[in-house]
Amino acid sequence: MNGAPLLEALRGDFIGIDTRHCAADGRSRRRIYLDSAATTLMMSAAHATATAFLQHNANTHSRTHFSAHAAAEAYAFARERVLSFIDADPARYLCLFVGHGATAALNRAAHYLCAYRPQAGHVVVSSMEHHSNDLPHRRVGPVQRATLTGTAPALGAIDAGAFATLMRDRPRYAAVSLASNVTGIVNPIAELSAAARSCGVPILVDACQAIAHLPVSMRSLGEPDALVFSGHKVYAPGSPGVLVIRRDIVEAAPPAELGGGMVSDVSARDFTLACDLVEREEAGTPNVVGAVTLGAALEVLARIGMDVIAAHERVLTEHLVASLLAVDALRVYGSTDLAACPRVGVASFNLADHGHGWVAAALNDHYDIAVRDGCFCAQPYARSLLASELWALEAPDDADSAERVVQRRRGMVRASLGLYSTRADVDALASALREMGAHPGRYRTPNRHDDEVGARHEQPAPPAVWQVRAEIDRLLTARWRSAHLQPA
Amino acid sequence: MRVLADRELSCRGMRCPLPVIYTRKALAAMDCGQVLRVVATDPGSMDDIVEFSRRSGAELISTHAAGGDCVVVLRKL
Repeated sequence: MNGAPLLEALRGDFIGIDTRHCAADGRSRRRIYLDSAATTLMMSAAHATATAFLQHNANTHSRTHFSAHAAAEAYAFARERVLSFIDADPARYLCLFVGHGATAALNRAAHYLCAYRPQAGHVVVSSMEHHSNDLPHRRVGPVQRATLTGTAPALGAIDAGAFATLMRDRPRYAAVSLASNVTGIVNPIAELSAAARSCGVPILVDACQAIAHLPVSMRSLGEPDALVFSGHKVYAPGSPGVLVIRRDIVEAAPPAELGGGMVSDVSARDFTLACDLVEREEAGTPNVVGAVTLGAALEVLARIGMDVIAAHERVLTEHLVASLLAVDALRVYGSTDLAACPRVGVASFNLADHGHGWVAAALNDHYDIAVRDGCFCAQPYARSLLASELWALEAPDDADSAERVVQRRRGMVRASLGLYSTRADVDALASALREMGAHPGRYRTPNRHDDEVGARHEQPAPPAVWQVRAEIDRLLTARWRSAHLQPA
Repeated sequence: MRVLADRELSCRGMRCPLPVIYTRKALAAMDCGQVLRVVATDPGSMDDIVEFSRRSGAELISTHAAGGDCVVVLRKL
């Protein structure tokens, strides 16, 4: 089975798809998970593959015993699967597994690009980046911002014309995202890559928010110099961060880390680096199980076809944005002209003058709808999207009172889709927001969240959290009994 | 040439967007042609006040940063 039939079969086969919690009204509700931009649910098939691999689990860097050989092969499979998934030529690019999210991979990319272009100079970073694709580059040199099209709060994608102009100053490199984690807006990477290449400027692409939702092909993207994503955004939580980067860029840099597995010979005074570039750059014990999980998830997505997935999610994304825009006094940030400014299934919004913390907490407590709120680790971008409405706020003359008014408005609520998301999920979100907008008084639960100061995080954990802790305790106890008390 | 301000506004210790909100309120209470000098300490406030002046039509006379202070001088038009 593959293509659309496999997609339909797969959509209900994620761990946690039927998770239930006790809501504020005391009823058990099925969780509606709309937080996939933060982390996706685990694909059952990928988890099953990793579990099967554990029968052979061993460290890599050896092929002497059968299991070590199996682990090395499995790890190599994951690396090859990544390169083929993004249509990257293995002669030009290598794939490194780094850390446990995109942050370590982006820091690593900054290390290599810095060494590749050692002359002092600035770095161009777009105005919509996640902190992880912004802060590492501030250590390299002064950052110049690539501007966006449109005007706030309806900002669009990176302005390709303005970006091309910035490239003429020959920065050390440029860092951009394929899709925003705040608005889901997709950037014209092929155009940006061409502009950077024409000026000899390397370009780094953060593909975290696109990798599970769009066909991501290095060739179609104009052969960017480096691309990063993370397994937890592509239905393989617990897997490593991924850096795909031009081999010659890595060759030009000193090893990022020193330790076991990256040397061929070590004396008391000196050492010789491993000849293999990947070995040289992956010091220490790798996350083999995580890599296998990721490789399996990518294998399944490839069998469905990312074009099939993108077409499916485009329809649901249009429904999400249209449904949100139909809610009274709800503001969706970023351009909502999806034809002119396409986006993956991410929408950030605010409802009337309610604090984002209150909206997100009420959705959770009363409807078991899991969304995220705040600035999503993209404060400069969120700040620019929110600026005009925050600047227009009426604040008391007393600064402390004014701070309390403003504090709960410094953010937004984000709903984001995954393969398991349905039209019914989107409809439930829109219906809940309509009810909350019409009858906010019904949703005030002061022990859980405070609409005035948004201080819900300081409150005791809600019952659902204790429910989960009790369940883990029960499972562990049962496991221990079965292992130690029952006769073999 | 230093321009004498008709009004001084201290937003030291305030987080954005409060410096912009108080700048907006101060300008609203001033006459056209008068000059407002704003001092803030939030590192993002200077860019925000400059952008606010561009959008609101106030004339930006000068900006400078010194000793942790961001100073913006505006004229109401």
